[in-house]
Amino acid sequence: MAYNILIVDDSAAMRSVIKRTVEMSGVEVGQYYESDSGKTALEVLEKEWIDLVLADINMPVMNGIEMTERMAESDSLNSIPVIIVSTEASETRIKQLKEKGIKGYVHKPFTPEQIRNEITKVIGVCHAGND
Amino acid sequence: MLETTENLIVESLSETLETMAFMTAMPPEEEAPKPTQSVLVDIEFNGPTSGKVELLGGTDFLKTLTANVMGIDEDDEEAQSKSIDAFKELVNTTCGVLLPRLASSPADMFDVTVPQAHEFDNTQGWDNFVAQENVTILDVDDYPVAVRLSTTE
Repeated sequence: MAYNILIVDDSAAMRSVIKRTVEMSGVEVGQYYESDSGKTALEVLEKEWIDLVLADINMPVMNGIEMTERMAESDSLNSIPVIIVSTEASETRIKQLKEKGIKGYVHKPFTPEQIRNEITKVIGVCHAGND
Repeated sequence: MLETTENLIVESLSETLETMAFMTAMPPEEEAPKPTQSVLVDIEFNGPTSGKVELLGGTDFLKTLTANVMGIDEDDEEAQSKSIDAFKELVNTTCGVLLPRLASSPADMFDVTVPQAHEFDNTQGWDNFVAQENVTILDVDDYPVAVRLSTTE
């Protein structure tokens, strides 16, 4: 099964890095979608079938935390898992994020193996193309 | 203390470059020609320790960095158009690697600012930056890159 992944980061370069790393990880992806803020991500989520969201925290307009809170309030979006991809490393803040509903966390910079392990943990099954 | 913080920022930058861009930072064996056009990016952090991380690199370095992080050819138009974006992400990620090393506890929390970029179109920008205290110049895949960490307790 291939998963549709939404990548949310205000840096276009970082969105490319995340996409490239997921591709290198062997996770089978149907389609990638991209957003530059939590606000535009919510618009994509309302229109498209998304299986997993990979999101940064610090973004203009709407950050990743507020986006996660809005998703949790929506009956149609609250089952979509969110993995935060960020430079944040404080155990206290990561605990706060998990209390707000995020399902996983990847610290930048990351390797394909780290991305793959977190996606596998969150989605449960991971189809690797390079096994 | 000074030597320790310099080592921390060099280690953090080296680790980030290697993981994110597959580039290697080394002490320069000889003085590389200074770039005529360069970009300075900086990011500030506030918490148990506060301060600023600054990186300065030539536009040629930025193009190679961008091509590496995005997995595209250096001749690709995006390697040019997204170079400052990629350089900002480099300082952001380097700061993210650095902060746990500056923290006294894994629970310590820091607030960081949005990275800022400043462009210089002559060698004066490079000269002025490297003349400051606490600046380390590294050889990153044959490009000179200058880094500086300043902290206040």
